[in-house]
Amino acid sequence: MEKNLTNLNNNISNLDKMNILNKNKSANMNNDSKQDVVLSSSINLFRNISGYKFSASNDRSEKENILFQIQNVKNEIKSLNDYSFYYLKDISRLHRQLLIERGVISSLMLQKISGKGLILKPDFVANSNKIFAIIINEDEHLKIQGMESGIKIKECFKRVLKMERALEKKLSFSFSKNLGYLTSNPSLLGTGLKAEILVHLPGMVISSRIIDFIKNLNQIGFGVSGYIVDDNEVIGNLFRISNLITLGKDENSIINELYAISQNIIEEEENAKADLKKNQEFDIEDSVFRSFGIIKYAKILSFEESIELLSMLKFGLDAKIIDEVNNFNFYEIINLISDANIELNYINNKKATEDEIDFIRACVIREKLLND
Amino acid sequence: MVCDNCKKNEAVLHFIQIDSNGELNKFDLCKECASELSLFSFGESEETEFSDASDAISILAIDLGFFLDKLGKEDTQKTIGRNFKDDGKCSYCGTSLNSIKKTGRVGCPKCYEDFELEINPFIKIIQAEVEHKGKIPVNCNEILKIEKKIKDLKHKLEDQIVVENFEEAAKLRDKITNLQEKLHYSGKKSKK
Repeated sequence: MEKNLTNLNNNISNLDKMNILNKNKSANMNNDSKQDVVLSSSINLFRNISGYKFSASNDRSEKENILFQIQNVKNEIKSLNDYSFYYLKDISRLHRQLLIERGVISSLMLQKISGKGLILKPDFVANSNKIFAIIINEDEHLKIQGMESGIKIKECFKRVLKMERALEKKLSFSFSKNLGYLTSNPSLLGTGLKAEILVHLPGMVISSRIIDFIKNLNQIGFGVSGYIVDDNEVIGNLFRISNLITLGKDENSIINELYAISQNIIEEEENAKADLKKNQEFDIEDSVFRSFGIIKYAKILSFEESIELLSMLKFGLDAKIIDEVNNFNFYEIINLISDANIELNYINNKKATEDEIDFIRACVIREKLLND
Repeated sequence: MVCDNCKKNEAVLHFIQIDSNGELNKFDLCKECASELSLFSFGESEETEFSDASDAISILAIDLGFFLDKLGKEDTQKTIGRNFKDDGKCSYCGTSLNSIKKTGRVGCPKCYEDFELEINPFIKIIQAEVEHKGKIPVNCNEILKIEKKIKDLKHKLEDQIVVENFEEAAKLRDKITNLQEKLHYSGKKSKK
């Protein structure tokens, strides 16, 4: 155990020596290719209000007190004027589903709905590129969250911190000198900060380079998970990279490290793509064109299958293996074809069957990719 | 979620594995199977491994309960002599150590004080260290603010010494001394 700890600490102090944080190389990359690799950035700050038990052990009346207190504080904060306060129970089934798909709340939050709430802008359905929200009584009393498409780690953090400071002036958060901000989950102690990027790495997966990359990330205290958070399922070569360590580092180092990782990963992925293109292997070309064929002719497509096919097609486009298709923003299309988004925007709020959703999804993808 | 190995117990450890062909597999294991497959070995062998040598395994969640259980067995000497008030329950929220083991969640801020001996070793493993270096509350007391400033300056001082910038280091040292005096004074004042 002790050894483990020393190893971990050594790894952290050796951070600068690691290749993974080598900066200043990808300056010549244009913005498009950056956005094709790093699809989105998100920041979560977890806080608990002192004087209450943590969410898992407090009862309904305590939860309601917290909700009431936050609601009052929200009304006093000018910068939150554009935001609305919602009780989770007042949000429709589809809108809740959409919030889960966009990563705003976890599906666990729906297990007990009473005493929970959120503060967010009313236009969140239409605005999938940018969501800032405060989630109340999920796993911790407060989750202050920001999410934006592209590499916006620093910008997101700045804005989330501003929201947190505004709240902190009116509320007293649980804090201890040694453990920092206190959370019910010990893996969030200290800064209470989870910073995450969503990356699309088909080149690194096909060329198996991702194996070493994940190993290196783990060594410097960053974890990798799949796209679907609750099942931790990897689909469409999409990965979520986030900091595992929240205590013993300050906020800026966490943010700067993740930013450096994002720059490095862009370069690694571009290199992998270029090498794969150079070697011109038939099987890779084959799977790109197969994906194209299915997308062109399939009548029904599940979300998971679509993401897999789109990932290969996107890879083919970026590596210039195929050009019969319009190039597309992967993140935008993921949000467009999610179940709840299709139900909300294409089926007028009537309960749709799975096949109906899959049929519309196939149409939406075709329209986006094949029409001029 | 059921363990992928024995298909019986509740899975507490979640992995993404990438095999040599670059295929991605997801698997979830219960603590017994994880120990058996020696993906985790806490203190049992010389090499405490977080990942199998041949595969890259990303650890996504370590169950606090699993850890505390293990720790309980190894560090019996430390924990046996503890006299808990109220049968090992937190003096504020009443959450028992057993329940923390089960859920991996702490009941309230006081739990961290009451179960410090049990929980801190776990924190040491999952975090960098048990010393907060980040921001402090805007409305906290003066003493905490000064202490934080001293801490930050000390880190800066260490950095300057490493790069042999002694002029800057001396300035930082003086600032720290000043603040320490201020702290001493505020400490006395608050006692009165």
